[in-house]
Amino acid sequence: MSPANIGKAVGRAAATPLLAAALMAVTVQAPLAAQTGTITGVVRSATNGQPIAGAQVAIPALNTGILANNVGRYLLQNVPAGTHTVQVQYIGYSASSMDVTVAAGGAVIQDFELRSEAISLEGVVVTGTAGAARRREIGNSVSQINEEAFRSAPIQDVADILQGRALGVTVLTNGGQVGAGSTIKLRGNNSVAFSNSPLVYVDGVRIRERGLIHSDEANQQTNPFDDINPADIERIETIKGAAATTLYGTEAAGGVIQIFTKRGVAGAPAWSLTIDQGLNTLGHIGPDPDVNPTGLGLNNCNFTGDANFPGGDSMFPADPSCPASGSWLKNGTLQSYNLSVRGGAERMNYFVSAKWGAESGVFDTGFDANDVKRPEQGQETWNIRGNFSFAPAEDLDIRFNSFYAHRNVTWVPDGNNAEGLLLNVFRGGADYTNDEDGKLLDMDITNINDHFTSGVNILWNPMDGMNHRLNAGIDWVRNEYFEERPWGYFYVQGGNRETDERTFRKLTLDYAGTMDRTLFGLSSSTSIGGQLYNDFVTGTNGFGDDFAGPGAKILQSGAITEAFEVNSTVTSGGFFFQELIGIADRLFLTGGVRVDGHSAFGQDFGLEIYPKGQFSYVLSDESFFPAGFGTLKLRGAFGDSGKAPGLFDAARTWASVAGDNGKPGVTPDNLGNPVLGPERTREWELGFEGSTFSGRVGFEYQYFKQRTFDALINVTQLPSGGFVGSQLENVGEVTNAGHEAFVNLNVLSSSALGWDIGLRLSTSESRVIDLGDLESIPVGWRNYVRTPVECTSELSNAVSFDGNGFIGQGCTVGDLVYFPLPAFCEDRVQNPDEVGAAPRYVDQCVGTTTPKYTYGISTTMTLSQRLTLDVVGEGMGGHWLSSGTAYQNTRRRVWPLCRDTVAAIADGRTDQLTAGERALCDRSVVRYGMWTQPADFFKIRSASLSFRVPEDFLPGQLRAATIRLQGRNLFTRTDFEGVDPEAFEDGSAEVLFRQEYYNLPPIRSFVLSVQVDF
Amino acid sequence: MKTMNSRRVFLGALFAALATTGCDESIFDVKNPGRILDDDLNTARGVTSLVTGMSADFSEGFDELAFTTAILSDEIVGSGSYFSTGRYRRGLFDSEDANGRWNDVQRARWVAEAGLLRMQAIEGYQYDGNENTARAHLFGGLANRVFGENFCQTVFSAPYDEENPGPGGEIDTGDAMDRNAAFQRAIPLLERAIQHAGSASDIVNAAEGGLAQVYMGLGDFSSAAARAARVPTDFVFAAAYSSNSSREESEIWQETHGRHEVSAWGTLAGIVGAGDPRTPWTDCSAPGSGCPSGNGADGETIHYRQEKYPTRDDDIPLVKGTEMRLIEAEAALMAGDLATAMAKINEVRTYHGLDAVESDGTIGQITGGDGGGANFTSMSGWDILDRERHLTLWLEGRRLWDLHRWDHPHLDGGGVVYKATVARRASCMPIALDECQVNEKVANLCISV
Repeated sequence: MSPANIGKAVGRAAATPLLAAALMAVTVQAPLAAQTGTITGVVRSATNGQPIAGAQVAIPALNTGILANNVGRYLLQNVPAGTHTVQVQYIGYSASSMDVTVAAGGAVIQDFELRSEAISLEGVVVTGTAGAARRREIGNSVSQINEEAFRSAPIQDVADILQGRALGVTVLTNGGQVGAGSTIKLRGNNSVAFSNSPLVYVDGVRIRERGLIHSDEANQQTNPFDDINPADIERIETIKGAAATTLYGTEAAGGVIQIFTKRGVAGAPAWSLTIDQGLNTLGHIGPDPDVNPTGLGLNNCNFTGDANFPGGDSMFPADPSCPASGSWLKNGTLQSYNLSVRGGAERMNYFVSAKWGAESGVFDTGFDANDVKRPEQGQETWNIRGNFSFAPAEDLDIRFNSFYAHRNVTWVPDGNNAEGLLLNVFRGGADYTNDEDGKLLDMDITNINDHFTSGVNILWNPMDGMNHRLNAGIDWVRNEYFEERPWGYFYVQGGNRETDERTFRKLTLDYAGTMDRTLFGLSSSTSIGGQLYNDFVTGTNGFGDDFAGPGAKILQSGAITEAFEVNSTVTSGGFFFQELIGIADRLFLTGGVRVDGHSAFGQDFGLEIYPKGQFSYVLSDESFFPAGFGTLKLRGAFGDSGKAPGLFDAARTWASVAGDNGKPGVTPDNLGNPVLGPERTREWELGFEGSTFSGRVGFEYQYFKQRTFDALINVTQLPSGGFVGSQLENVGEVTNAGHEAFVNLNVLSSSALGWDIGLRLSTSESRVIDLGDLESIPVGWRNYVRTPVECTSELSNAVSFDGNGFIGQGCTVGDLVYFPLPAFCEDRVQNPDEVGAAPRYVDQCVGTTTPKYTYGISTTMTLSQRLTLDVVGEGMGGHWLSSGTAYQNTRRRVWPLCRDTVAAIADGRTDQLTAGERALCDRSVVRYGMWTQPADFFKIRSASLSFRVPEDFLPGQLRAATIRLQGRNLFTRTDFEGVDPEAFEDGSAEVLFRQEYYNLPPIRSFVLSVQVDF
Repeated sequence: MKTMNSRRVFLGALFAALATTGCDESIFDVKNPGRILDDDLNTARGVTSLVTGMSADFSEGFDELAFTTAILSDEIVGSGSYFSTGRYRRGLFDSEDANGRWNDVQRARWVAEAGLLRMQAIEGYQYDGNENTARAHLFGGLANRVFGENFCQTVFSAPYDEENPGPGGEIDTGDAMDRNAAFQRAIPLLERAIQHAGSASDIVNAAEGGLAQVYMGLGDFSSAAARAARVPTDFVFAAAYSSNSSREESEIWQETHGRHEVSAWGTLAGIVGAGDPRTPWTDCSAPGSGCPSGNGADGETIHYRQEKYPTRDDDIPLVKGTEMRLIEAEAALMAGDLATAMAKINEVRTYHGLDAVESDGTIGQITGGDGGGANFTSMSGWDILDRERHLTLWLEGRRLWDLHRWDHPHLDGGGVVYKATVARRASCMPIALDECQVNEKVANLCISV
């Protein structure tokens, strides 16, 4: 076996313990020679000295190898006397090799230290075929985040892992309500009518990736994705764009996230306990303290005076319901306890973990009028996981992976909600509560998730080069939500309650087979497969209004009750065929096709066919390539993927309604479209990746261009024809293109000092090409999807009052002006400098409202393999955000940035104001468009300082101990004048539009974490 | 070298089974509980549900229309945080604002008209003389009356496909037409409602009253007064609202009691209507008012909470005998008969327990100028009628139409609560943007302000 082939075999072993078992078997079966010895040692990370369980240790020349056990220890037995080259590899690390001389009957101790390496052509990734593919073979980019990259970071949920660490992935923290989900997009937007969220697989089982119950009072929803215990995760792969996701079929156009959890490794039980203690906090809110001393009344709700505002801040007077601390904010506590164990024997191993955590939010909810403790903002979680593998035969590996999570989340009313806390606090006296905002906190908003995922992976390797994989699994989420206004609640005296309970069940059946062989001197890998997904949703939603008295309530406590039911089943399935041809293990050509069916396709539509093609050329393997440069791979890919329409969009239906005081009636529901099919996204991607300076510099670049055609557009039906509303039709076209670049620098690498720097930049720019016969589609508050318009001199020469431009500015008359997906369009002032004049407005579009670029910098510095500083910073930009807070507060004359203008108007000095000043701050003429601004920002997402306690200081039972001081969301730099550039009034990933509107901005956390391994 | 064994057969069979399952057409069937397929409505047993749906769709849109036009016409003032009410109170209303209202009234019209075509074709359904047939005609007629009264232009198109011809026949061309087209369309529908109603006097009275409203819309006061005379003063036919389900709840209740988005403060009802049983309201800023807050959602307009619809179940009148008397009064004024006009007006006041009013002996003309656009003190015949229609039909979706047909001084800024930012306030709703986007014949008729 050549070193290259060992690399291939070892690489596959990383994701395929079946092969690992085979390697072990080879070791076991090696003939016992009379003159043999053993080689043993520990494989550790060169960065932090942590053992690397599962590292592959091999002697290629002897065709033998083994996996390091659960504490990183390996043992090569029956090694013939002599000098041998021992190679060690593991995903995410550069390979290491060393010549080891073994004496007959002797035992050699040889430890290895592996340096982390962001990009390795010998690494393996999951592509949808059986087993794993070597990176050198695939033509598209795949971002891989290994545990090493986030082990020391303050990870609260899975979205935190992706944020700032994965190229081409945008994770927007929508707000600061504990337990609320983030918005996750891979390569921006390419769909008008549907979510641009990626699909999520956990250990081969597709899970509910989004769409749990949305709280209309908190304007948030939880993400089932975040139910997974981050500490259980071994790595995450993000597969972006249609060129890479073709084999995943319909619904995969938004990309795929594959999560792989930890597995057992042979060895005695290795336990690990992590205890986190910390706090959540929030700093000053809103404009600078010099004009906003009370933080919009949130930081200080009992303001009694300030040098700048003698006698108090009239905009934010003292609130009699203000907590005793004088602030609506407090430091919320945070704690979690995570215990895991992994171990096993050669043919059977396990990983089991359990976690309990609790954290409270930053609002001081206090006590109600009867001195009863109000619901406290926060969440409690617990998770258990059991991953078990066994190999009943040499060529068969069976894995069972199961987890169960429970989350109980309590929110405060927030966002675009008349009973929202921030809406009323920020509006000072001009609110709904007569400025007694504590009354709002009597409302109870609770969200409970029970999430169970279980799957079996059967891997069968009946002969060399042939692999079969069968995944079957169930993902089950029960989401219970209730909101209750108690009896006597100030806004609804009788009180009311809403209960919403839904069960989401997704079944996965997935087979793939791959046959590797040599044909005419070429390597061939033929893959076939088929998948079936069944998605079942059921639930009830009930309301009870007007209680008779106080006490605990159920729906029928209300005098008026109402109920709704949800019940639907969607099935999708398809088959694929793929052929990969390799030439001299350096040029790889791939072609494939997938055929899909889906419940939601129209009756006359039939099946959908998605093609793909790729090439990968490992240029650095050529003889003419400069020796010593390192590795370089050129690659390119194209492919189609799709998004299915909604369940009932193809059928003409009527809905049941009540009329005439509760009698049954019908109303037009859906017009129907018998030829409705999925929208298709076709993507081209070209790029390269490699490493140089002996692997110290890893780099990756790609350009992608997506075109979504037959885009599903909600086409307004002719209202005067009577069947009003809209109907999905395959009539639109959208493009999306961008660049992605990543450089990882291993600046220093020694046992004394290690320093890694990662730099990443990704862009995506969407453009609407066609909307059928429609010109403009509203997709949320003043957010529009618009068809191109012809440039006019009026458009081209219009005024950009803030100097930040607008769509069409400076265009050439007669050219088409394209709009992004989506744009924000509203009135903006045209005579900003005119003194004493009323503002003149024109409707201008700006945007997009989704970031056009994301950049990140991460650095890890380690002293003596013990003290590690890890910092992740991330910036986003090119997008605009409308500050509903600024606009609405201006309308109420309580926006601190408008103090001077408001005073001038009150003094009758309007004639001294410019039209621009009035357009921004005069409540009678202000427009939303005036408070819509570029929302570029840079944030320190996380920072941590870790110290690995010297082993000498540890009690005998402990293998290792690490203490970490961690911080999350530590710093923000932005020119956006609203509350926060990431805030989103409706924490839902389902919609295109974004707007900040009185919702709690992302909070800051500090955590002290102690991990002990024993 | 490993070789394949019997497990190859097993796996092959497994894949074949998967493939077979994947090709089974039934597995991709849409499971669709809760929806009703179009063809399933073609049954005599389903007609009552079809007609109840007509009533439900009428009510679903009408409260929104009454709410919107109440703000546009200063019957009530926008005092909340909605962006739209901030525009409406300044008299701004464009084609994008019109989307919801246009769609609602088109649906209400169409479900009745197309439903009648369906009912005619249903085997086993006794079409003639059936009360359901009469009600369907009534809702179709009243929907067209609402359409004509509130929209600047009308458009009728053939429905969604060629298999379902439009109920209006050749008139359904998709062209923009004068609002009178809707009134003309309403007349045969209301006449047939009477024809099929038999002894159902509520339908007969409602249809007669509807015809009076329609003829008034067409300017035919002779016919209007004749029809009005057939309706007793105490008769009321209303759009139904109920707390039975959230769709059935009254939007006006929701925006005034459930929220504080509009207030009677500064309006005619708020100033001179205090104590008038036709325009009840509560001053939420007064101690002991029981309101959650004294102000509107804008934080500063005092919340005068309307109490005409104090619960979410309160119906909104569509045809009232009291309005019939005022139609007769207006017809009399048009004919120069002040005495008859005042008698009819005072008949209404007496019905509501109010003292009679006496004119200054002049017919005069509408002068407006005070809060809500009405003249508080003028005692000319037209100013009295202006006030009485305003107060009698308060929050019933009729005031905007009165302002328009009278070319009321209020539209030019007289006596408005919030000053308009346009030269002339909107007096009717334009063709909706949704219509302009998909109907080439009216593509250039939408407006943006």
